[in-house]
Amino acid sequence: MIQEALFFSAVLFIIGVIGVLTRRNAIIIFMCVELMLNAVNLSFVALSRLYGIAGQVFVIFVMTVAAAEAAVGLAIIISIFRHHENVDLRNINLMRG
Amino acid sequence: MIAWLLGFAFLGSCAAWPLSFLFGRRASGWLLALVPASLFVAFLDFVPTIAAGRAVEWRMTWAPSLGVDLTLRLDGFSFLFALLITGIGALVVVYAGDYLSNESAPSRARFFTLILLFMTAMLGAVLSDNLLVLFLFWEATSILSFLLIGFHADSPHPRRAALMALRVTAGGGLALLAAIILVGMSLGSYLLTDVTARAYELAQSPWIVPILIGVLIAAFTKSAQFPFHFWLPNAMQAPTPASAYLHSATMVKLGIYLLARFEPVIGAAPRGRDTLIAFALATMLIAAFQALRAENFKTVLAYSTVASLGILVMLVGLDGPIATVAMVGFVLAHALYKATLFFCAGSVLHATGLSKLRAMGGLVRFLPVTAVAAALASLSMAGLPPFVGFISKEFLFEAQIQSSWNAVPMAVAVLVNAVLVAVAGVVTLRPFFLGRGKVKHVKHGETPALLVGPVVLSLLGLLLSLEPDWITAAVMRPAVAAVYGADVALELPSLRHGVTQTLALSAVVVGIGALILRFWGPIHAHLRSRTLIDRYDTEHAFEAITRRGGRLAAATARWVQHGDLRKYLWVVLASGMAFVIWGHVATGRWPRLPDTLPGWRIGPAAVALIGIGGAFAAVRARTLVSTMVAVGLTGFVAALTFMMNGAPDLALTQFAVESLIVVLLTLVLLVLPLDAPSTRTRRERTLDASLAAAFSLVVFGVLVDMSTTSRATLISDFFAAHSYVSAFGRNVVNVILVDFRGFDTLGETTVIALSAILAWSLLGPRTSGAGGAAVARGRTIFILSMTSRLFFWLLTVLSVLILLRGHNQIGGGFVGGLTAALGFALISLADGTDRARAMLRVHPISLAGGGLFLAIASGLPGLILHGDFLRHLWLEIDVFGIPIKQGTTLPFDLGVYLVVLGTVLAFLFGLRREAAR
Amino acid sequence: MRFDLDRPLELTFALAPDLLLIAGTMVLLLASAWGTETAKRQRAVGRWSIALCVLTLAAVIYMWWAGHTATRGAIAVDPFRWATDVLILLGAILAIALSMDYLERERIDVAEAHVLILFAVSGMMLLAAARDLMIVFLGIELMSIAVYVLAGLNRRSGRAAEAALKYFLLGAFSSGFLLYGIALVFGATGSTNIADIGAAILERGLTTNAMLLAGVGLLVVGLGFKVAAAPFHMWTPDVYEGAPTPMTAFMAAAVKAAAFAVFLRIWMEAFPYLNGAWHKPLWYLAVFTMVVGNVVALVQKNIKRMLAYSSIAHAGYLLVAVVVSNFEGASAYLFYVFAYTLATMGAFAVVIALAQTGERGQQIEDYAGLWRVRPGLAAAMAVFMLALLGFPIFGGMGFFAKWYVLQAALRPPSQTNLAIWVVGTSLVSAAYYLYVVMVMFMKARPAEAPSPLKVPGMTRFVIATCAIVLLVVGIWPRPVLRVARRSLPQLVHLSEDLPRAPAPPR
Repeated sequence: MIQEALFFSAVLFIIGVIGVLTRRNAIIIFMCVELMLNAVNLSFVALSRLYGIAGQVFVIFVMTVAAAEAAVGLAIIISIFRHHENVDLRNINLMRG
Repeated sequence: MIAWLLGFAFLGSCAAWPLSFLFGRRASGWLLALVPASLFVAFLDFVPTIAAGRAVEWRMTWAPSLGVDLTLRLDGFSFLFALLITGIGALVVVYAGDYLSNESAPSRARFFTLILLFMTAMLGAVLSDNLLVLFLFWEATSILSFLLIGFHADSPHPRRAALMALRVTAGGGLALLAAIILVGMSLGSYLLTDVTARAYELAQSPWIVPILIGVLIAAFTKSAQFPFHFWLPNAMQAPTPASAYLHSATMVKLGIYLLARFEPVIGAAPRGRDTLIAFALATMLIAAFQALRAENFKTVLAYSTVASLGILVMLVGLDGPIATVAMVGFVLAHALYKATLFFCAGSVLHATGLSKLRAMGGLVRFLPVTAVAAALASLSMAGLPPFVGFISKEFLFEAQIQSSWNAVPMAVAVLVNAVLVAVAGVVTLRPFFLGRGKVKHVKHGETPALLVGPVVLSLLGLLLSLEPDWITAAVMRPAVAAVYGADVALELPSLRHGVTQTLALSAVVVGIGALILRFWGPIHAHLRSRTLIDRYDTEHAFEAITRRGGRLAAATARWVQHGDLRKYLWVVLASGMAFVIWGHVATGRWPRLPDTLPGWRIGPAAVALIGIGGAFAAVRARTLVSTMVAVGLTGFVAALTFMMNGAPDLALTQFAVESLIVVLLTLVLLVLPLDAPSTRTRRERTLDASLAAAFSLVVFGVLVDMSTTSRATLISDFFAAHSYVSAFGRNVVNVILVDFRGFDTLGETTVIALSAILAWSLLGPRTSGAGGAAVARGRTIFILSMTSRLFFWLLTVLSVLILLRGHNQIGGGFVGGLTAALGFALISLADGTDRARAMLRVHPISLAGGGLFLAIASGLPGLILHGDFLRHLWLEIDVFGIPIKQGTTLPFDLGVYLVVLGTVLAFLFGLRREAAR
Repeated sequence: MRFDLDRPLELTFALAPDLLLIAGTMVLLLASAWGTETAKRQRAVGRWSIALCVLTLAAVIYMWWAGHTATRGAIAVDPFRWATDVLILLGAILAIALSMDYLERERIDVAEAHVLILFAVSGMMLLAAARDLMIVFLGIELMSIAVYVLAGLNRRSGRAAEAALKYFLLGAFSSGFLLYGIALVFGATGSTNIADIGAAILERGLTTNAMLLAGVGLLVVGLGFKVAAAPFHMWTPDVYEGAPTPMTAFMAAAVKAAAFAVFLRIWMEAFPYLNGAWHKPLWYLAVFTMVVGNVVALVQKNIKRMLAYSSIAHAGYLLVAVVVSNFEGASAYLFYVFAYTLATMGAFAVVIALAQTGERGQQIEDYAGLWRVRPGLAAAMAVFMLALLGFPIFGGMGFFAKWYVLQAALRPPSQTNLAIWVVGTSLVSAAYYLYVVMVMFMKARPAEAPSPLKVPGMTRFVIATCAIVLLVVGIWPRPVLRVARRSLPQLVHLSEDLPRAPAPPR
């Protein structure tokens, strides 16, 4: 059970990372990051079968933080949209060098 | 005592600024010269001690834990430098008083402050026995020199020269720091006396080569030795008093000072002396050559200074006591005559405004005393008896004859000295005595202040040689003893000894010098027409390196910092992978395949497969909506897995969060009409795919490995040892209450409240545009609109139920709040946010804030009654015979509920305002 | 007294300064969310925020002075925590003072800005106190979320929005790595408590455990991102340039201080026995950070960007303390961050004072001839530049700070090569720090250059304070050195100086 959950979690994490890497749209990237966090949550829950409740407590934390991050992240993405009229990362590159 | 002198010097330089305003143009130079002059007199007080061969020490702890103690030590060699610094310092300040009379008052004040600060730093450098303190003062002299060279900063030349000098000398200082660190590592001490005393031990250190390289770079940069010699002629952009002081008499000798202190170490190290002499010879030759080509009065003097410094470095490199005697003698002689010549050059510049030697002539008519002083100094420089220069040159040749070196340095020394003779002749004859009538009138004549310096120094150059006993006993012998480590009996050369080898060499030098002087014009013209050296000298190399470095840095910047977020992400991932791989490589732990395949069960595997499918769809999806649905699916699968792993509470929370995020995203998408076209090129796709594949490979390697480990250790051992499977089936939220006493809940509630305010302040302006005038852009869905009310009330009731569920535990607040927020979200999805806002009536931020207060306040009764914050109290009331148990957990939960609700609504309404813009 | 962290009341006391700050922040949050946005309210909230910080500072100093300790638990109660708290609060106070003037000039009447700073400070103080990876995660996120928003505070600026987005996406991504790292470490050791992790690694011989190694690697990525170590530094210049300048100063000083505090604590307490395996990667991380920061800073034209790269370089110097991760390193970190905070805050304060409205006038060339028009500002800026360079005497305590780090590196088992890298890269840094000094003092001021605006009182106060403290401590460093030396983390499972990790068993 733990093994499967850990594998499942790792696969989800990888998919999330790939999504972050390959997509251009800020919202999708952001959703992929949420996917990564979810994946880690799975690991914690699975591990807490081994080690006791601490893992599950951690999951609550992560969820809370993810929710807060979601609120802030979406707000930031909207403010970017206001300036650039889209959220394609290719177009968001004023500063370099 | 000597610390007081240093402190006095510092105070004096601080006072220079106001005083120079106070005393005006004429008097301030004379007055401020009292600072160095009184120091000079104070130092003379030490004569008996020094002459007796003792040293004065003073110690104060400064930063003891860092090994930096203010250890001052005045021995013979330091004493010589201290006298030069203060004595010439006084003359420079007097001279500057009149030289700068055309400058504005603030400019003059700045000059006086800087020059006196420089004097302080210089004194500190030669007095400190701790290498670190020496380094501090060393760097201070560099920066003051920088400021003085760039004194006339309005034109680009001084600026360039100043920056070049600073880069070279301050950089050399850091090389010194590196060397000092290594000395400390080798000896366990930063004291200069220890370096001298334990020179052999240091020479055996494994770090000796880097130490010597560091010391040599530091000394060569400071004393303008090849290949760093180029900054000194450029530094002639400084006002002439500063040139006289810094760039001939004192600062450039700091490198010599350091080398002399390290001489035992250099001598003990293999090929130490050879290196030193090789660089010195190169410097001497290049400087002599350039001196013949130079056109400006000050530049000629600068190159002759570089050549003289080369001679000094060579003398440090030569072994034997006479070399030390010659070195010490030459430091004194050179300071006397070169400072005089700079003073004279300054007077000429000041009087005529000319800088090229070619344009000058016949100035003896206007500046008679200056001309005489220049002539005296030149005779000393040419090494003619009975001047100090003669004595030092005799010692120079004596040292060469006695040293174990072959004829090459001797030949070079003869040649270079001959050139110096010629230079001495040129810089006196050309401007003052030849070419009468070239200069018709001068802007300024001689003034007492402009004369004191050259006259005193040039006369000293004569008097010290005629009456040498006092200076020999009081200054020179102790100085030589301090450097050489043993007393050396001095026998001064004199014409009375008849024709000796050295005298013959001197005669040869003067002869060749006279010849060069005779044919100066043609030689000069010929050499100037050769420009090859200008193209291949180290100055150009330095500039080219600087330029190349700049270009390299720019290229690096463009390469590293391209501004493309996707590539940044790429690098983070690649580096993360590198770290994980490194962990395995370093421990030699390569992934192994498990012996047996884990037994997979159908149920979890199927669930996992759905989740993976969802995630994959999310990544591949073309439209945002399908991505969203896919992410949602994965989230629900995650919740399902939580449930299967014995965490029903988490599953519930996950459901709520997932639903909420879907709704929020939908709202965002209604506000922002977005689509997600694929914008990647083929190459980017390949790149991404390969990186992703690599990453998967690494993670799977670790995972497979992990599964072998966990079979072996994680599960069996650990279960046997600890036997807890206790998490299964327990309510995590209950555990939070029991184990964590609500603190963490409070913490995360804080995070949520924070995000409320963040969303609120990020989204849209508050004062304008928030009114009801704006039209909702969201499409209203009829069916949804009809059913939304029903759902809203259902959800609200559900949320209250969840809140009250398990009425003896904390826990319902979070999920309850999310559920209630879901209801509002539905309303705003169906009827627009304004409607939802109207239904709420309260400001969402107030909701969140109030909730937080409620949560905190609920802990107070426990704190007051039981001394435990967040220890919840219970009350049983009989209502109509039915016992109802209620506790302070309810307000806590209600607080959390309100915070969550307020936060989500703040976000919703913020979005609404955003859409209304 | 010795707090028993299992008893709620004593836990409350152990967290008293943090709770005080959070409670006060909540009050200010409510106060700032209501009402209209005016400059007056913004200033009022700013003043109260400073007052709250001072109050918290007093609480911290009291706790420090009382010399409390605690049992093994999720919270550390030791001088190192209090000293770090003082540094963080110092940075916060200076940043709030600066932002009061700045926000007024730029007409960003967002009173929440100060509250956001306070929220970030709460997160940082949690980080300083954290002895549990759970608290570490919470602290990092609390801090980061607030700082993401601070970066995008100026809603009118496209650059600010871009800065916020870049910071947010990269930050969230690296948080994912950090979290996965924590999960793996938890999986390998069975605990999230830092002290327990260290004990578990030692007792159960986990030094070659695959899960642990992968977890530590991912932790390095997450923490490296927060401290802006190359190659995880890419967000720094863009974010520092785009963010409002006081927030940039806050990020450069306080965020870095907090992130390094937790980095050090984790490395000293949880992973000392992994040092054999992790010494090299951290070594390369430090050297790479120093080189990239200093080399790229050479070509910067914009002063904020230049300072951003300089902050990366300083992260490299501070990483030296992590590489050695012994008590000497911890106290060197404290002293260094004190000097660095003052110099960075001061430098950014000068940038704020000299910028024209709308963040114009921030090219280094705009400072030409500053000495002629604003001698005081030019002199102060010179002190800050020299302090960042680590120049003796004129740079005040900057030299001692760098020397302290070198000392830490040279204590046996010495990292001589690392020390030489520090000195060598400092040599490179001389070029760009001194260039600023040269421009200010020697270049002529162009005729068309606008004369600098009048410097408001708070900004002036910050500049003067930073410069004077730097110089005074530079002349008389002993008291500060003594404090830094004594403010050590209390390692629960180790009583004396850390033994070097034995070579991992093969």
